[in-house]
Amino acid sequence: MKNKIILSLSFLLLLFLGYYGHVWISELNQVQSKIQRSKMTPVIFVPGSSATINRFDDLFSNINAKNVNHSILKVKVNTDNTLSFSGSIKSSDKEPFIVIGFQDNEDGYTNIKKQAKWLTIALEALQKRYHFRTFSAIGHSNGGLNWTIFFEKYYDRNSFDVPILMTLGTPFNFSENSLNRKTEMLNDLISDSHNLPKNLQMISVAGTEDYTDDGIVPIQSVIAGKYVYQKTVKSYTQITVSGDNAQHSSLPENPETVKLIESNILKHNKRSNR
Amino acid sequence: MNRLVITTYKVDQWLFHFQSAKSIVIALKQTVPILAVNIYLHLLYRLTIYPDSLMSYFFNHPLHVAPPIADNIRFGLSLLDGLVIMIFVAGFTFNYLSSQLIHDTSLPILTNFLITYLVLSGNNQFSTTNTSQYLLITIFVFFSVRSYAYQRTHFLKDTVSPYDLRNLLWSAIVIGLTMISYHYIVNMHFQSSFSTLLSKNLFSSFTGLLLIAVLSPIMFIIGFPLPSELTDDQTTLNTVISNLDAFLNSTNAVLPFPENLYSTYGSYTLFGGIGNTIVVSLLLLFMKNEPYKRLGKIAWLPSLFDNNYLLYSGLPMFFRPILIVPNVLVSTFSFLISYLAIALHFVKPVIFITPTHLPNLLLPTIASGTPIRSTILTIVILIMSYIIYKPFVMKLTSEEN
Repeated sequence: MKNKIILSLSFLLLLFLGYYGHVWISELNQVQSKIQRSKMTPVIFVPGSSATINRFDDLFSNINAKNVNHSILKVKVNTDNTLSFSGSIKSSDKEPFIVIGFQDNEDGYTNIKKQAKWLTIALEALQKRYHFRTFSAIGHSNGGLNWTIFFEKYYDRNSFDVPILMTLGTPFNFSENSLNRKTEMLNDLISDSHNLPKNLQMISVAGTEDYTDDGIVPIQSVIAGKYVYQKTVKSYTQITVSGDNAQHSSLPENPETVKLIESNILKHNKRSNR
Repeated sequence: MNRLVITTYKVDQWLFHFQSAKSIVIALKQTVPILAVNIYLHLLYRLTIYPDSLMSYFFNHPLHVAPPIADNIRFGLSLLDGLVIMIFVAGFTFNYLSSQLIHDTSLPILTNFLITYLVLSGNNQFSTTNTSQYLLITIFVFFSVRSYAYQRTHFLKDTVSPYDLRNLLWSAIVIGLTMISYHYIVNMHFQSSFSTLLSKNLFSSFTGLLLIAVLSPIMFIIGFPLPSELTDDQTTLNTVISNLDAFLNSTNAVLPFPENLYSTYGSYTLFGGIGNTIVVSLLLLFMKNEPYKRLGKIAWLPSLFDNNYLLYSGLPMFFRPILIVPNVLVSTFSFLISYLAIALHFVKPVIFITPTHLPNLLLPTIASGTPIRSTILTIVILIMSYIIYKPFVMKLTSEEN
């Protein structure tokens, strides 16, 4: 009699677990299959410290004036982890531009680490909303540091696939102009570099105004990125641009930078694709 | 079949006429009460509080427990894991030396306790979910008690104090040698080497899968460390991920690896633990012999959630030929039947990832594209497992009455 009760209760338990298990699998598969089948591969931009989500407006106008009109979505992550959206993504747009900025956009290593976490929150929310898996990443100044910390600490290759990262004037060694003096941040980035995705192509762009820096970031600090990325990811390319708009804050609009973005990152950049 | 049962039983009896083997069996059975408490607490923890608990999957968050309390629970559980092994070691040492008429066993028990503590804490793995400790620790303790008994009977008089310098020297040598051997064994990285091996192409072929179905029960019962891919988690293997990717891209896609470790071995040979041992719990549940019936009752719920460590210690299964043979037969035939059923398109392979800790019994039904047929296949395999286990378990329990 007792055995019959044990077996009946077990059967009921299995029915309960089976039902909830089935619901869980169905929900997960729906989301996963949308992500898997998504043909959208956005380009996600992260501005540097003190810059707002409008930091790349000139770059976008420049690209959209010449080529296919990429829709633009801007996301601001607030300090309480909530998100504010502006702009929209057209349903037909396979390569929209998304900017992720932060309410607390102050400089400093502690803040940059917080911003990397906020970046992860924004990416997860965007994936839930737009069901994309693959995207390209661009970071200006400290935005490149946000991406690096994201890849080292929060990136899950089962959720996202990022084939290319481009950093513009990113100070991997803050304001140090000697590679012999490594900051705490650079040491941390080097020690966690084994977590960087192996399939990532990294392009680091530096600007030179006077052969030593871009007005703010020493070129040696940008070059220090090689200690983090070189021989760790699929490829690491370091490019220096000069001439007009080569100073730090104008780097995204520099004609050479625009060409680099168009040739290395944008895949749907022909009028016929519109 | 009857001849096989009798032959296996004879081998089992031959092995267990040795005093050391008898002492191991008694010591394992002595751990059952504390092991039961341990396993039920682990089960409760994994179903409710654990960040990856079933509750967190179904209701979107685990039972809220303040982080310091959760940390203490985790710490307490790992201590309990260690305590189970230590009670086994103390029991083995005491039972063996008592049989050799050595009555003061305090020094060897202390020595073996220390060895166990150093081995377990050295690898940060106070865990009963892995049988690796049993083989390794049993070997260490076996040599320790044999050498102590030899020394006492050949070189020292009975009147010598157990804490005499010569005895203390024995203790220091045994601890030293054990730690040196343990260092070398750990550096062989058995489990990670196996995991790497399992990602090789051979193990997505019929021969490779058959090899796993045959060898994993043997390795499990002799207490050899098994990688997690062979006990509960095959979903990280490339073949499984490729299948899921293909399905998510198109529901009608041809799967690249329909017969893989997850869809055959993982889905149809692990009901209640390696070798479908849920059937053994069921057999014990209906025994007339009260101690076995009690073991069946306490082992039933953990078995539902694929934990067979109460059977491992309670029967015990450890190093028992009479249980290795049916375990291998069940594992092999279950694999063959499931492989054929998939190859002949009777069922679609299990491809979906399920919540962690969900009973394996449900896997074919909810994680394949053919729930009804897969359920029928599960029932067929369970009936076959029952038929294979019954004569062996009956022989074992009736002879021990």
